[in-house]
Amino acid sequence: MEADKPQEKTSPKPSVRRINWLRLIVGILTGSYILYRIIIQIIRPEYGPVYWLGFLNTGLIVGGMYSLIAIGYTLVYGVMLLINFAHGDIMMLGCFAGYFTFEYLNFLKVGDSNFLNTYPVLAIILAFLIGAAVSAGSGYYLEKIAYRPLRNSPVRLAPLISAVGASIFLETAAQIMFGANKKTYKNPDLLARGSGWNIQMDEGMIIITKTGVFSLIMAVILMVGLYFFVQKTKLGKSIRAVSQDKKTAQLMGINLDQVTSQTFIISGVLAGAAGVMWGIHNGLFNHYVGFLPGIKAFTAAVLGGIGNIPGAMAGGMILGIVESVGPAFLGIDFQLKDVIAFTILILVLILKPSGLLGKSSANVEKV
Amino acid sequence: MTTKPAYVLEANNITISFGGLTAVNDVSLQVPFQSIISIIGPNGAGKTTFFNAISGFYSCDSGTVLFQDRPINGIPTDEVANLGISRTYQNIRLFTNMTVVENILIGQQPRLRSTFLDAILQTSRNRREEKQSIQKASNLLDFVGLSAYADDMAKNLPYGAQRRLEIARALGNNPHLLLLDEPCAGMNPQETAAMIELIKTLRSQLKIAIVLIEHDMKVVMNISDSILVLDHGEKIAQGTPEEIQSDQRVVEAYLGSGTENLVEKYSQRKAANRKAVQPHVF
Amino acid sequence: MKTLFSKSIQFGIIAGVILIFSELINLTSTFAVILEKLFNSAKTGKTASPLAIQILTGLVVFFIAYTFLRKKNGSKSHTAGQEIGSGLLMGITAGILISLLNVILGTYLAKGQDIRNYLDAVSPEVISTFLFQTDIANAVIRYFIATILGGLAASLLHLVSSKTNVSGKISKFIQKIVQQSKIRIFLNKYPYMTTILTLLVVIAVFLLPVLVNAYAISVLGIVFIYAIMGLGLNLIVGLSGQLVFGYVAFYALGAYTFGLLTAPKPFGIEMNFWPALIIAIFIAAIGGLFVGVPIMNLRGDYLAIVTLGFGEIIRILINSNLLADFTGGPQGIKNIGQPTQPALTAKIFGKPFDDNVWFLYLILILFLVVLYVVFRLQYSRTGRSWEAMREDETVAQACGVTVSSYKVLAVVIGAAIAGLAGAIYASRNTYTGPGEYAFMVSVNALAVVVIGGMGSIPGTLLGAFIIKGLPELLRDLENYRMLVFGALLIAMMIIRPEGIWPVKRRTLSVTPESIEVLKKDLKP
Repeated sequence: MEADKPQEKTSPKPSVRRINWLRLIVGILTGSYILYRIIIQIIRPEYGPVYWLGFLNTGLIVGGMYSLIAIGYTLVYGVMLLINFAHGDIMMLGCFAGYFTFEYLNFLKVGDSNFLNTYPVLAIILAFLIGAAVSAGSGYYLEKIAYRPLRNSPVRLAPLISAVGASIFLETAAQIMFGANKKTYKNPDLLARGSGWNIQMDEGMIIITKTGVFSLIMAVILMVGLYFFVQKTKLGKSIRAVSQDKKTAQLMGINLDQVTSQTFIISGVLAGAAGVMWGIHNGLFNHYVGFLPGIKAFTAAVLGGIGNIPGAMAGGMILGIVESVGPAFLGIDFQLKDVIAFTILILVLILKPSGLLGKSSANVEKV
Repeated sequence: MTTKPAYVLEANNITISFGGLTAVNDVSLQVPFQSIISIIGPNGAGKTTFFNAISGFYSCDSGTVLFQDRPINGIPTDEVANLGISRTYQNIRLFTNMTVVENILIGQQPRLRSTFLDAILQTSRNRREEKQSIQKASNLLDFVGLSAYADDMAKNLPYGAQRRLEIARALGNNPHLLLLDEPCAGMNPQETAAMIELIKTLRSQLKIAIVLIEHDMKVVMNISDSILVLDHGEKIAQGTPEEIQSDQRVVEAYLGSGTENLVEKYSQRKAANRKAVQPHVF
Repeated sequence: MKTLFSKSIQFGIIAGVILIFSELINLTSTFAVILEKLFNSAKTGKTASPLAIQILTGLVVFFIAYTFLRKKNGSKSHTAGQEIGSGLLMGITAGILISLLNVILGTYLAKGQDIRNYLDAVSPEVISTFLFQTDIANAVIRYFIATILGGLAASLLHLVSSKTNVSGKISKFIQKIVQQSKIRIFLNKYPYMTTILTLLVVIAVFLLPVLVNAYAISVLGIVFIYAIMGLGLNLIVGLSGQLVFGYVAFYALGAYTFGLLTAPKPFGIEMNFWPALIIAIFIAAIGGLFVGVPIMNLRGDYLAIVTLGFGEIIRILINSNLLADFTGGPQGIKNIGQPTQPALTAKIFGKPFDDNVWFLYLILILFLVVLYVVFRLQYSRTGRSWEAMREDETVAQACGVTVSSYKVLAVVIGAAIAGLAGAIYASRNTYTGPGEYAFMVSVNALAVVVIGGMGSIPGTLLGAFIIKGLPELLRDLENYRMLVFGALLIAMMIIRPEGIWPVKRRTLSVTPESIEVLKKDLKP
C-alpha cells in the first residue's frame, strides 16, 4: 500500500490526549491575553482609527507578497514533501533580475528621455517577465541539481539539508557577485516610491502609495490566475494528483519528474514576481532580502495549512496584517514585529497543527 | 487479576470508515489463548485495516477492542505494544540502517526500564539490563534461525530473513498476541514451509496467540484453528478450515458467481463510493 | 550522433557557465594565486599570472568534458573521430561563453567604466587580470587555446584509457593497495591496539596546548567548541533524525545566561564559573523544552523552521531595546568571568599555565565530558530508540518507543550541550554580543555534523576540524567559505550522505542460550 502519504496533518492517534492539556493551557493563555489587549485598546486607545487603517494597508501589501511566496512553499511541499528552504533565495534572484532590468532600461536612451520613463508600463512588464523567468529558471535547475538526485535517498533529512546548502550557496554567491551593500530599485516615475494618494481623515491621513496598490493588485491577479491554473489545466490537475498520492499518480501515467520540474517553475514564477514587487515597493534590498520573507512565508503556509493553496493565500494575508497591526495592538516596539511572526508559527503548531484551512482528518500513514 | 479472561483479544462490532468509505463494517473476532486465527479475503477487504484498529494505528468509529478484558481502542500504538500486542507489517518495515540485534533491542523497548540518566551514569541497572536484553535478542535470533546474520545491517538481509527478523522483533516485548500481516507473502515453497513451522513453534513453545492475514491458502488451511473471512469490510464467514472450504459465500467472494454479476457488483460499488467520497479540497 | 552533438554542446555550456560564475565572483584568480603560492613560495602579490588562469580554465573544461565522456560511453561507444570532435566542441562552446564575458568586461574596461556598482567582485584590476594584461583579441585567443586544449586533452585521455583500460587498471591497483594496507584488518587482529591508539591520540591532544603557538591555541579552542556543539547537534540531527536550523538560539541562551551571571554589568552578580556554567546549561535546556514540546507530535521538518524562528526571536530580542537593560542591546555584555586556574596545576607543573593554555585545557576537559555523555547515550537504549525513530517513526512507535518524549529529550539534551558551548565561548572571549549569533553559526554547526557523518561521534570531531580548522589554513579563500559550505552540503548529500567518517555499527551479539531460557523469558 502507499507508504509515503503525507503524514503532517496528525500523527496517528498517539498522545492526542497527552497534548490536549498543553493545547488547552496555551490556548487559554493566548486567548485571554488577546482579550486583555482588546479591552485595553478599547478603554485606553493609543492609536486612532486612522492608524489602524494605515497598519492594515501596510499589512495587506506585505501580505500579498507573503502569499505569493507561501504558495511556492505549499506547491513544492505538496509534490515533494520538502520544505524548499532555498525558496526565499529564489525570490532574491528575481529581485536582482528586476533591478538589473530597470537599471538597463534606465540607461537605454529613447529620444530625449530613457526607455524606463518613456514606456513605463512596458518596462514594468519586462521587469516582471525577466524576474519571473530568472526565478523560474533557477528553481528549475535547483530542483534538478540539488533535489532530484536525493528523491530516493536513504537519509530522510538529505533533501532538507541539501536545501539549506542551496540557500547558503545562492545567498553567498549573490553577496560576492553583487556586493553586500544595499541597492535601490530605480522605479519608473509612474510608480515612484512614496507618491500616492493621501486620504484625509478626521485626525490624520492615510497615505496609500502607488507601489503598494500596484503590488496588491498584481499579487491578487497572480493568485487568482494560479488558482484557476491549478484547478483547470492538465498540469494543475497533475500537481494535485501527485500531492495526494505519488504512486497512484505515477501509475495513472503522470510523469513525476516533469510535474516536479514544472511545480518548481511555477513556484519560481510566483517568487520572482514577489521579488520584483518587493523591490518596487520597498526599494532597498541586498542579497539577504529573501531570508526573512522566506521564513515568514513558510509560517504563512503553515498558518493556512501546508499543502493547501487557498490556505497559503489566506495565511500570507493574515500574517502580513497581523505583523503590521500586532506591535501597536500588543503595545510593543516595532522592532519586534518579526518576533510576532515566529510566535504565531509556534502557536499555530501547538493550537492547530493542520493550519487554518488544512484538513485535520485522519490522514494516517498506512502500514 | 483473579480470574483469567476467556479470550486474549475480543473485538466486538468494529466499524471503521474513511470519509464515507466503510473499510471495516461490524466485524467481531474472539481470539482464545494459544490459538492461531487467520483472516482471509480478497484485496481491499479490510483485513489490514482491521489489524490497524487492533494495534492502535486507527481508532474505531464504533465497537470495542478488549485485550484481556481491558478496552484498548483509541490508545496510542506504543501503549498497545506495552500491553503485549506486537505485529509485523505487510511491506516489511525494519530499521534498515541498524543491525539485526539492534532491531530486536528496539522490539524489547516496552520491557526495559533504564532511562537516559542511567545510561549517562552507567548505573548497575543499565548495565544489567543491557546485558540481559542483548542475551535475549541473541536467543530470539537463534529461535528464528538468524544467528548467522546477528551483526549485519537489516537492509542487507535476504527477503525471507527480513520477514523472520520482523517476527523476532515483534517477540521482543513478550507479547501475548502476535499479529502477522502476510508473513508468507512473496516466499518460495521451502521458505513458506519453514515459516509455517516457525509459526507453529511460536504457539507450541512460546504459548503465544497468533492472528495472521494470509493469501496463501495452503498456509491458512494448514495452521489455522479458525478462519475469519472478510469481504468489502464485512465478515462473511468464520469457522474451521473445513467449514470455510465448503462455504458457498466464501467461494463467491473469491471467484465471483459469474461475470455479469461481477460487472454489476463493480458498478454498484463504484456508484456507492462516488456518493460517499467527497471531492478533495486542494 | 545527433545526441552526442547536442549533449556535447550542453556540457560545453555547463563548463562555460561554471567558468563565467567563477570569474564573476573572482574565484578563478584567487584560486590561481593560491596554486602559484603552493608551487612557488617566492611568489608574492595578489595578481594571478596569465598562465595559472589559463591552466585553471583548461582544467575546468577538462574535468567537465572527461566526466561527460565517461558517462556517455557507458551505453554506446563512439569512434575516435567522434570523441575528439565532441571534446573539441565542448572546448569551443566553453571558449565562446567565457570569451563573450571577457569581451563585454573588456569593453567596459576600455571605456573606463567601473561596473563594481553592479558586480562587486569585478574591479578593473580583476578584469585586466582576466584579460591577461593584454587586449581583448589576445585574451580571447588565449581562452580558446585553454578551453580547446582542455576539451581535447579530456577526449584524448578518455580514448587512451578506454582503448587500453588504463584507468580501470589503475583503480584496481589502488583498491588492491588499500585493501592490503587496510588498518582495520590489523586492528581486528589485535583489538587492544585500538585502545592504545586511542590513548595515544588523547595524550597527543592533551599535549597540544603546551606545544603549539598562541594562534594555534585560539584556533584549537574554536575547533573544540564547535566539536562540542557538533556533538550536541549530532544527537538531534544524526541520531533522532530531526533537523534543527536555529541551533544558535540555544548557544546564545547559554552564552547570555553565563554572561549575565558572571559579568559585573548589568546585574553585578559575578558568580563563580562552575555554578554559572550549570545554570547556563539548564536555561538552554529549558529553551530546548520550549521549542521541543510544541512540535513533539509533528513531522521532523517543522522542527527545522520552528527552531529557525526561535533563533531569530532570540537574536532579535537580545538586540532589541526591550531587553537592552538586561542584555546590553547591540553593545553586548563585557567582562564576562573566566574560571580561575586551580593552584594545583602550579604545584604540579612548577608554574601556572598561560591563561589561554589553561582555557584550552578547560575546553578539552569539558569536551571529553560531553564526549563521554554523548557516547553513553548513543550506545544505550535511549540512543537506539532515537535511531529507530530516525529510521521509521511509525514503526518505532508501534514497537513501544514513546516517540514524542524521545523527540523532546533529544532536543533538550542537544540544547543543553549547545548552552555549554555558548557559555564556554562567552567566557573565552570575556564578551558576548548579538552579532555573534547569526544564522551562519547554525549552518556551521550543521555542516560540522553533516560533513563529518551524521550519527558518528568521531565524524563530528573530524567535521569540526574541517569546518573551523581548515579555513584558518586557507585564509585567502575566507570570502568563499560559506559558498563552499553550501556547495559541500549539497554535494555530500548527493555523493556521500553518510559523511566522511560514517558511523560504525557495534558488534553486539552473544552466543545464544537454549530455548528453555527463551520460554521463561517470554513469559508475559
